[in-house]
Amino acid sequence: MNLSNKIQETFDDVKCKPELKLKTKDYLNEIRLKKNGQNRFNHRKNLIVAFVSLIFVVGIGSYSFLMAPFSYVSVDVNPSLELVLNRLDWVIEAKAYNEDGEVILSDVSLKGMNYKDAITCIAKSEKMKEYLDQDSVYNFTIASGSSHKEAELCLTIESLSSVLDYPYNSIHSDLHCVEEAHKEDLSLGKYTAYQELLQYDSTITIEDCHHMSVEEMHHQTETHKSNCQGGMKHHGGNHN
Amino acid sequence: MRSEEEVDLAIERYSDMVRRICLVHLKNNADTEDIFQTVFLKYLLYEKEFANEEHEKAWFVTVTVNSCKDYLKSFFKKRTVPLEMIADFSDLSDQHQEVLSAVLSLPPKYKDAIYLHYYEGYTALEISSLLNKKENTIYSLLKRGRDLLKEMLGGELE
Repeated sequence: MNLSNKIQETFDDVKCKPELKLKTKDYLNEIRLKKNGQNRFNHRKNLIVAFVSLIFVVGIGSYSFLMAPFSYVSVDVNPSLELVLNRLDWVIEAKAYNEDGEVILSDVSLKGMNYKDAITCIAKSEKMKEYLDQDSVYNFTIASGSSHKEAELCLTIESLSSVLDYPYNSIHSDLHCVEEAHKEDLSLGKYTAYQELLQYDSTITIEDCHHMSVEEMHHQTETHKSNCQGGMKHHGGNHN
Repeated sequence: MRSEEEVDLAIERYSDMVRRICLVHLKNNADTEDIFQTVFLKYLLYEKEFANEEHEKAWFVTVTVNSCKDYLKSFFKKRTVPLEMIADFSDLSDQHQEVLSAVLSLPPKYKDAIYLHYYEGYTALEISSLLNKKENTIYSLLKRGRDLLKEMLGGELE
């Protein structure tokens, strides 16, 4: 018999015992179960991580959406206040720009309120009533990230005329004026009034504005305007 | 991870071959059992598909040989392997026990080549690919191994 046949025959007799096969199958099934359990755990863990991430992203997104300033409404009588609104017109910050404004804000809590309700709340405040007399005028100055929103906010103020009980002015301003006004520690309304007055009176300073009401500034502007118009008429008359 | 059916089929198909390769390398049943299970565990976790049955068989040969070599190379085995008794093969005939003893007593480098060529029927070229050695080296190993077996088994071989 040749070598090849000898080795063939010898190794043919070497077989894997059935017990070893069974033991191996059991061992592998055990591993499979553990792996499947681990996979299920990992799957569940991944789902939880994905869910938490989603909540986090949605949370951050919502927070950014709700807490980002979008519009500014300055309310100046003599109390000088400014409401910072988010995209949904909720008040996210109410700031006083003079002592009278601080008195009003100590009486009302405006944060989280809808813009319309906040204005109503200010108008109905007992403290505010103390500052109002027959000559009082509400000066609303509005600046927003969208012109559409500005128009909408102005219309809201018009709809509140019955609540306000006093005359009101509402004007638009630019968002960049908000930043400049805040640098000077003035409300948007007062800063806009200052800029208007500055066109007729170059001697007026920011410091002066801090001691004047918006109504006084408007009055001075109107006086300068009338003088100019009078002067022009007079000048025109000379020509004639 | 492979299905239970796939693994069971592979165990039925290759268990004898894996057992024989383990026998060629390892000297006791406990070590054999360890490597036997390790090989099929690797198969369970091996994700790639085989082109055909021959490819799958070649994979088993390579993985089993490498697993045995790694096992023998391990620090623990190097330091502690005693001259253990060859696993129990008392059920083999005297003649087969003699041939088996002769094959197992060959130096390790000859045993794989002899087994794969004379029992599994692989050519020198195929063995060179399975063991990652040059074809000429396999020819040399086969020749030297054959000569040694002839010396050991005397006139029993032609």
